[in-house]
Amino acid sequence: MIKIKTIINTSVMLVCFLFVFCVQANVQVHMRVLDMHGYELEQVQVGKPFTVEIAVQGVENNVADPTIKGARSFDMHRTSYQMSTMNNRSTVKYLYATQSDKQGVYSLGPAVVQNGNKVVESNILKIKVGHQEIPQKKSESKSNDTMFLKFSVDNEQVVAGQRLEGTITFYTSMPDVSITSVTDPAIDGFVRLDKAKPRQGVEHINGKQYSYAQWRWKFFPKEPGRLTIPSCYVDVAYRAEDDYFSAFASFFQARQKRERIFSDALTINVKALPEYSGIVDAVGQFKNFTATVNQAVAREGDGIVVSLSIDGDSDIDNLNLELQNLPNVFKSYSSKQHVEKGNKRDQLTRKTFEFIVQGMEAGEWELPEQKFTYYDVYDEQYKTLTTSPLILKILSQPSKKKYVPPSNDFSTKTAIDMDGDVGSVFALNTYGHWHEIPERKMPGWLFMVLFFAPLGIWFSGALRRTIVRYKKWRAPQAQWRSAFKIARKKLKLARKENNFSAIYRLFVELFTLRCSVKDCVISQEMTKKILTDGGLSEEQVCEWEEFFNTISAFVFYNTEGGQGQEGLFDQADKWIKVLEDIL
Amino acid sequence: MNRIMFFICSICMASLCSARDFEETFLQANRYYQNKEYQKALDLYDSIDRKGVATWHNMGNCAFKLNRHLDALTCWKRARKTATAKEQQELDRNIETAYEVLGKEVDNISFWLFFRRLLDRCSLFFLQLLFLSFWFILFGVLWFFKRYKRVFLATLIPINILCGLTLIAKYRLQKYPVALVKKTSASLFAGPDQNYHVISKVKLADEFSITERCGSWCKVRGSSLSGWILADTLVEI
Repeated sequence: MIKIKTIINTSVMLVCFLFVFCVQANVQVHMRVLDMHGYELEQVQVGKPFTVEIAVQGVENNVADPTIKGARSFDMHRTSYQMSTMNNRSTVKYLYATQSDKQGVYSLGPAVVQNGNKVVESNILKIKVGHQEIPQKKSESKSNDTMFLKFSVDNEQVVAGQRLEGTITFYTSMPDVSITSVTDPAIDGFVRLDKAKPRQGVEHINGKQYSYAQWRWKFFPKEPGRLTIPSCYVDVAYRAEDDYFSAFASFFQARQKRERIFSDALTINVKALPEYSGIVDAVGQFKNFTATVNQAVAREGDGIVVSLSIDGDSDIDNLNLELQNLPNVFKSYSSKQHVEKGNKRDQLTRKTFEFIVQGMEAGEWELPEQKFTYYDVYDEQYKTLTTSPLILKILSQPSKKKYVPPSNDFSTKTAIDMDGDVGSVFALNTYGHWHEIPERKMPGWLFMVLFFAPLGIWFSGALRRTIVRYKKWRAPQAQWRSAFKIARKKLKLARKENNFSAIYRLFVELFTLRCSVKDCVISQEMTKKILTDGGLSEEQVCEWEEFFNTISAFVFYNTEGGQGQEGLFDQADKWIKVLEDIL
Repeated sequence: MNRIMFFICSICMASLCSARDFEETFLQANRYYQNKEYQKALDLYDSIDRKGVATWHNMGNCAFKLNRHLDALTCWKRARKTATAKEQQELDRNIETAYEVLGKEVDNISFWLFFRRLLDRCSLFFLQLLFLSFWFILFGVLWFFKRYKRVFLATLIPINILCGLTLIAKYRLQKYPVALVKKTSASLFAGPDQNYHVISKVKLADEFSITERCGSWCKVRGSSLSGWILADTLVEI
């Protein structure tokens, strides 16, 4: 019974004590350093974020945010706020993502919380910032070998201005891990080279197969000294392993875990450039420094484009060049700049600087050689590249007015000029015939025909007239010569037609032609005289008279030719022969 | 018959396609020229068969941009042969610039040059028609206007002679190809061999008419010179 009483009393006292303790308990603030997975750390790493947790216990009502002393030594920002309440007393947890970029031991705290009228202070933390992250209890450290992020650079010993290429590789041995975002290292000047798509592959590490995604970064450290490149992180999402209702959950896309994976920070040593008396244009590796002009000849005041181009592996985007030692007769202006990135990884990038140069005085001028001095990071010495000098010929402006195409539609099609100067010397001909148009010409033979046609017509007319005249002139002689031939033909015809009257006419015609007299002059007396003069005897003359009278009778007395008179044709033939001899 | 028609149609289609290809080449070359890729443009222009005025003109521009001034001059002169008056005006300006760059003085006021330019602007067809017109008028007058024949003849005969001479000059210009000296310095010999006496020295871009050929030698005639020169020192226009 006593025992029972003792137990009851003890229990009542314990309950009362607990009640009093709970009611009367003070607000307490505690601060501790955790890694990003929630395990306490003994030492944090330079550049790698860690979590500072501030737990405020025993809060009755709302409590104001804590104020942390010494927070300026770190890069801190609140990431979450958790609150749990039991017996009307709350415990509030504030989590701060913190990062330090310098090595050393820093004091953080106390965190001061205002709870009603009371001010409550937390413990003070001594945070060691070193090269490595050291967990407080090694057994507690979570070696997350299923997913990790590796950050490396190609060279940890560089000179100021040298290109540095960093690689961030996310490894995972889990299936179905998706990367939701990747964050650039929080330092100025980093340029992600493969922004669109990271390189992906499979790699074996310590006998375990990992899938990886890799991003590359480019950076040009400007100042010498030890440079810490802070860690970067990727946000990943994957399916929770303890999901027993996966089929159901996946339907609603529930139970998907999200995690932020941080890489280690990197510290590199940036050396200063060796001393150099001249101007150093760049640091890196360069070749092919050339100077070209778009035209070596121009008129006074016309713009010539001088291009300086260089191939290099350097901070080429921020590289700038000017034309050096330009003669006073030239005016120059900076124009465009082009960067042509090499297609292959080891191919150098080409940058071209364009300058507009105007020659103000006619003559032949030399654009002197251009020099480019750089620090060669491979040979570790200064080098100078030099271009060849350029000869520019400046012509005086012509006094005559320049040809300007007329302002009709021709001009709209015309001159697409290279240098934007419509109607200038080198306007492109876009309106003419690109193919050969055979020259129109009259065939030689046609030309000659047309040339000789009027001559021919004129000549033929003249010839015709001459022939007519000649014929007129030559007709009597011809008739005289052919009189007997004609007489025989007519006689033959008359004999055939038995036409006695034709005999008279043929003899009259014969006398007319041979004696060159008109036919009306011919009479019997006259013929008698001609025959006598021709040396015929009287008998023959009488015979002629008889014959002539006979044939005349057929004409003048219309005597009909009868039987036995066919001999007249023979006589006529005989007399033709006789006359042929004497006429 | 059908086969023949098919064959003829095929030839026509092939030639049309070929022409279209060359036009595309010309336009592509223009684009290269506008993008200041002169060598590419020049190569494309050069690949065109039976080049026209615009092609030669643009080839000249490309060559000039590439500092090949003699080539530019040659192309422009080739373009000038069949150019219209407007095109000739532009080409003349380019040619003048090319001569200036090559260090040659161009005589702008000589009668011969004026006459040459006038002849270049008149086509042979036009001159033939002009001459024939006056020729027919002359004979027409001889036949139909006998009363005023003397007056007409006094006018028409000199006109006919002038037209005839112009036509002959045009024929001669076409008959004898023009060539430019493409070497900085060359010699003009009295005969077609280097053993002959040197008549004179000729310079880059000097212009001559080729009147005769003998093996690798050409007989040339310039404004005041005549002689023999090696063919490979000349570039024909």
